[in-house]
Order: sequence, then C-alpha cells, then structure tokens
Amino acid sequence: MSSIRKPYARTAAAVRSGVVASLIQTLLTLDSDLNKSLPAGQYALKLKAPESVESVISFNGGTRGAVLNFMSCEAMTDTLSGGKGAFIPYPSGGGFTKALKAFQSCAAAVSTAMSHVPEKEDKPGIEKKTRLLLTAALRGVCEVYNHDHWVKMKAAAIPAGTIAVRIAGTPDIAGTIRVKDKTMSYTPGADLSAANAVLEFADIDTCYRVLTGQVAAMAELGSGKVMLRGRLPMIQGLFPLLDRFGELM
Amino acid sequence: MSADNRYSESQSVFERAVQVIPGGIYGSKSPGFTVPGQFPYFFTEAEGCRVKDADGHTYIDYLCGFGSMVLGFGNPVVDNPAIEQLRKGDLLNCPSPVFVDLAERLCGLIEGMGWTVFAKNGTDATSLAVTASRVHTGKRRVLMAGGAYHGAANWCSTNKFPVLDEQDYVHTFPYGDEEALKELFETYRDEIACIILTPYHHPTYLDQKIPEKSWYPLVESLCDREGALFIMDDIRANFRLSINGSHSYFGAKPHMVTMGKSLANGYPIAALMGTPELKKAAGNLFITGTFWTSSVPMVAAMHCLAEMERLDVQSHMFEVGKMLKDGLRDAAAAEGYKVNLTGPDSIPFMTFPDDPDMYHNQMFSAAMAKRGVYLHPHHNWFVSYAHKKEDIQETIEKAAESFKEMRTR
Ligand SMILES: Cc1ncc(COP(=O)(O)O)c(C=O)c1O
Repeated sequence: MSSIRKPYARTAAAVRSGVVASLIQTLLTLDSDLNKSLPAGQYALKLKAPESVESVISFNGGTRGAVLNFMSCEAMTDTLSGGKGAFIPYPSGGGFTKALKAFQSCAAAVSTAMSHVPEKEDKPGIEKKTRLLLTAALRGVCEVYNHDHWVKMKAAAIPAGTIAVRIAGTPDIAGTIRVKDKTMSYTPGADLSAANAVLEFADIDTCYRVLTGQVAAMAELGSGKVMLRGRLPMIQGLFPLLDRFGELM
Repeated sequence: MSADNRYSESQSVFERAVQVIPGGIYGSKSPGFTVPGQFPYFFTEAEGCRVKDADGHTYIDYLCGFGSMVLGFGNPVVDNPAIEQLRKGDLLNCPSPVFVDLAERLCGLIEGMGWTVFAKNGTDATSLAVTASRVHTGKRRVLMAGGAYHGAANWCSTNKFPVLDEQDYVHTFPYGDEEALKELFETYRDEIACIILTPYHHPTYLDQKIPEKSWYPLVESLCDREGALFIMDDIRANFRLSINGSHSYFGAKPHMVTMGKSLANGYPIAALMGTPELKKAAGNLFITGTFWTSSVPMVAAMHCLAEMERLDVQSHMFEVGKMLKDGLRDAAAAEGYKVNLTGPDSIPFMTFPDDPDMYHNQMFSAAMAKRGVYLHPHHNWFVSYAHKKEDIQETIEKAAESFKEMRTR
C-alpha cells in the first residue's frame, strides 16, 4: 500500500532547488574568494523542472543567462543531491557560459561548506555554518509550505504576516519569512519593528545546535534559549514545516 | 528577553520532560503557549485562589485549572466527602448509586435537559454529542464556529493531515455571522446533523464575543427547519454564568448540552445531557469508558453543585470579575495603554487593540507572573468563588506596577 505521507517528486525538487539557490546566494555574501573567482559581469541561472518548479540564482544582480532544464523532478533532486542527472542547459540571454560556470563552482562550494563540520572552538566556522543552516531551514520551510501536500492542511492555518528569525546580539544572522496570499517566501535579514512574530535564538551556539539536531527546539524553548514572541500561531505553524523539511532533506 | 532564573526548577524539570514526553508538555499547557522562559511550567500545590509553582513561588491564579476550579483549590466541602468515597472505593465494577443521584440532580438543575451520560473529558462529551446527533438525524454534516474549541478529537482539532478525514463533513462559519450561517444551512440543506456552539465565543488569542440577541433565535429556527440538532458546548463557561446552564443565561434552547471542567471543582468528570426526546438516540449508542463510572468525581460533583447553589457563586464571580476588569482598565489607562476587556465578568480576557500581535499581552503576563499573578497571555481567564476582593485589589496594584514597567522598557 502506498503511503500518503510520501513526498511528491515535485515537492522534493522544489525544496532541494530552492535551498541550493538560497545557499549559493548566502555563500556568495560570505566567501569573497568564491565571489572573486566568478566570471565578471551580471548574469543569472534558473533551475527548472516540470510542474512549475523554478529557482533563480542571481550573480552580481543579474537576471538572465542560462536555464538548467531538468527532464523530471526526480532528475533535478538527484542532480542537486550530488548524483548524475539529466538536464538540458539552454541560454536565456547573454552570459550563458558564465552562468553555467558560476553555478558549477558555487554548487561545489555549497556542497563542501554544508558537509564541513566545524570544530567546537572554531567560532568563525560555526558562525558561517549557522548562517548557511539558517538559510537552508528558512528557505526549505517556505518550499515545504508552498509545495508539500502532507502538511498543507496544517500550514493553511498559519496567518498572513511576517516572522523574523534572528539570533540575539548578532542581528546580521537573520531571516524573514512572509506569508501572503497563501504563499510563503524567504528573504535574508529581519526588521523586528515590522514583524508580526519573532523567533529568537539566545546565541549562535543555540541556533547551531538546534539546526544540527543536537538539541530539540522544544527543549531550548523551555529553557528560554529559544524565544517566541508576538503572533504565536505563526511560529507554532513553522514547527511541523521544519520537521517535514528535515524529512525531505 | 532572556530566560528568568526565577523559574529554573520549572526549566530543569522541563528539560527532563522533553527527553521522555513528546514536546515536553503537550497541547495548551505547553511552555510555547505561555511566555517561554518568563513563566512557570510546573505547579506543585494550590489553595483557595493561589497556586504554587515548582520553584516555590505563589500566584493569585486566574486560569483556575483551565476553568475547572470554581469554588477554590482544596475546598473541604468538596474534598472531604470525595476523600471519604476514595477510601471506600472509587472505580468499582459497576457504578455506585451516586451515578444515578448525580444524573437526577443534573436533570433537575439544567434547564430543558432530561438525561445525562458521564465521561471524563470535555472531548468525550462533545464527540458523543456529535455522534448522537448524526445517529438521531441520519445526516452527517456538522457546523461549528471558526476558532471555536470543542476538544482534541480529530473531527474538530488542529490535527489536520490528509489521512485524518474526520473533518470532511465539518464546516465552519465566523461566529455570530448570521448571513454566513444561513448560507451554510442553504448549501447543505437536508445534510446537516447538528450545529455545535459555545454559549458565547471564546477563541484563543482574541477578544471574546457575546452573542447578539437575534443569534440564538436564528440558530434555533434554522435547526428546526433543517431538522438538525443544536448542541450547546458549555464546557468552559459552565456554572460561571448560571447554575442552570449557560444556555439559560442567554435564553437559548439547545437539544444537548455538554459540561465538564467546573462540574466537580477539578475532579475529572464530564457530562452530556439532552432533551427527553433524544434519550432513545443516546440509548442506541455504545457509550463506555473504564473510568467513566468512577464515583469520587461524582461525589465531588454532588457537593460542588450544592455548594455553588448555596453560595450563589455566580453573583460573587460577576462582582469580583467586574472589579478586576475595571481595575485593569484604569491601571492600563494610567500608563497610556488602551485595553479591551471582553467576555462575561466571571470569564474575562484582556487584549491591547493597538497590538494585535500580542507582544503587549506577553510582556504584561510575564511582568505579572514575576509579581505573583498568573494571567495567561493568550487564553481567557477565570475567576472563582475563592477570589476575594482583597485578591483582586492586590492584582490591580500589581497590574499598575506591570504597566509602568512595560512603559519604561
Ligand atoms: C468549550 C470547550 N469544549 C470542549 C473542551 C474540551 O474539554 P477537555 O479538554 O476536557 O477535553 C474545552 C476545553 O477547553 C472547551 O473549552
């Protein structure tokens, strides 16, 4: 008997490609060597699969360049998970080869960065990894909300508005999730004064440990190291999405 | 904000809880529903209107065991006979005669009702009521207000996953919206088994709403026309509005009434009651639960009912509840805060209309908890017979300090 819980291929592809795209954008803000190694100019790359799965990666603010058209959602997920996939690259304006080249080196850099486990004393390493993990989690949650059939009914209860996710004392590690017209989107950075709800980690270490699964968010919530404020149904609605994201990745 | 050491024992017990209990504390008692880090999570004892937390702090309590405590914690008039029954035997093979005493008592007391079945939790009673309405009418659909809480069963809870299809026949309307209700009755003509309503609307996080005069006559006429049943879910408001059931307070005439919470001053018992015509439908259902016939809560209920009647507890709760509302409104205004104090005086709740996201509620509740007053930031409050004017006065004074603290933050 098939399980209704099993993710659709489209969901897995949307989550995977969205997360890869956001991780590349974040890594480009953190790694100046990677940035410098990119071909000069403005261009972009679109990851595309059937059933309207699309994610765009912009290099230096560009909007056009290349499209990687995957033959199937499964192929997209496999390729972006490090396997061999079937896709057809085609140009969508100038910068075709630049976009392909940049994507190749950035995807490899993301893969290296995500598999790297920083030593306990490596503060900058933990900080960098935390930024990446937070990006992946927040973008992933949005894609789960937008595409996953399993948590769709639960997610429908999340009210419209914005949730700021941040680390106390480190305001630049932050992201915003916005729910509007039953679509969830992620942007880096957070404006506390405008947020309808705030999810705040007491410090980088807590955020890192929660996102790497070393401690349960709920336990840290009880000890006050994870804080919720404002319109709580918004944040409570995120937890099932985060759990589902964990299953999908 | 960071975690307050004042609650360190609560926090450390919670850390243990998370290891062995999903979510640590689940549901509406979860720290995530309070002000995490700034609120107690575990309590050890209580007396009158005061509760003591695991760190040894005492609070004037306005949650009253989510409404179940109505006469005061540890009330000897209820507890002594209950303890006596406990010594004699609580759960015996078959019910003790008090089962019948209590059913007779309730049928005499609750307006319009002619039979009773007993269960443990409110969810048992509301689910039985919905089932009975479906069996009686031979129809499937259930109408309820959006944002209303009728328990944790799949037909009405927030457990919404594709494999749980119990809500396929449950439809919601905005509370009090007469046009929307008429439309639902029109859309599902000949298919509606029941409408389930709380006596007034007490949604979580929001202002409470008292029904308009025209609401119940409309509900009743729509039900009459459709041949649907009207279930009054009185589990939360029960005995804080009227000793004869909250429907009598609003002049409503339901076919069934569910009760729980305050019926036995905190002892675990819930009841479903119905009009005499529905007794046959209820009799055709298989209704049972191992603990549903335990006699201690029934003895407690008998004494709780007698004491509530003797003391006219509703008048007292209205009086102290009004004093609380007025005092909080004035204390807020003195610091320049506009507040909404909604709901019946005995079941008040406060929100800040300029802050729908509830940041102020959370700050206020945390500030009050620190001062020894337990006012839930997101769930309506309750007063009890044990809340005396001195307790309310003390609460208002602490509220004045808390509003001042908020102003300076
Ligand atoms: C109106 C109403 N109905 C039903 C219930 C469910 O009762 P219980 O929690 O005892 O199952 C509650 C509980 O808060 C309630 O307030």
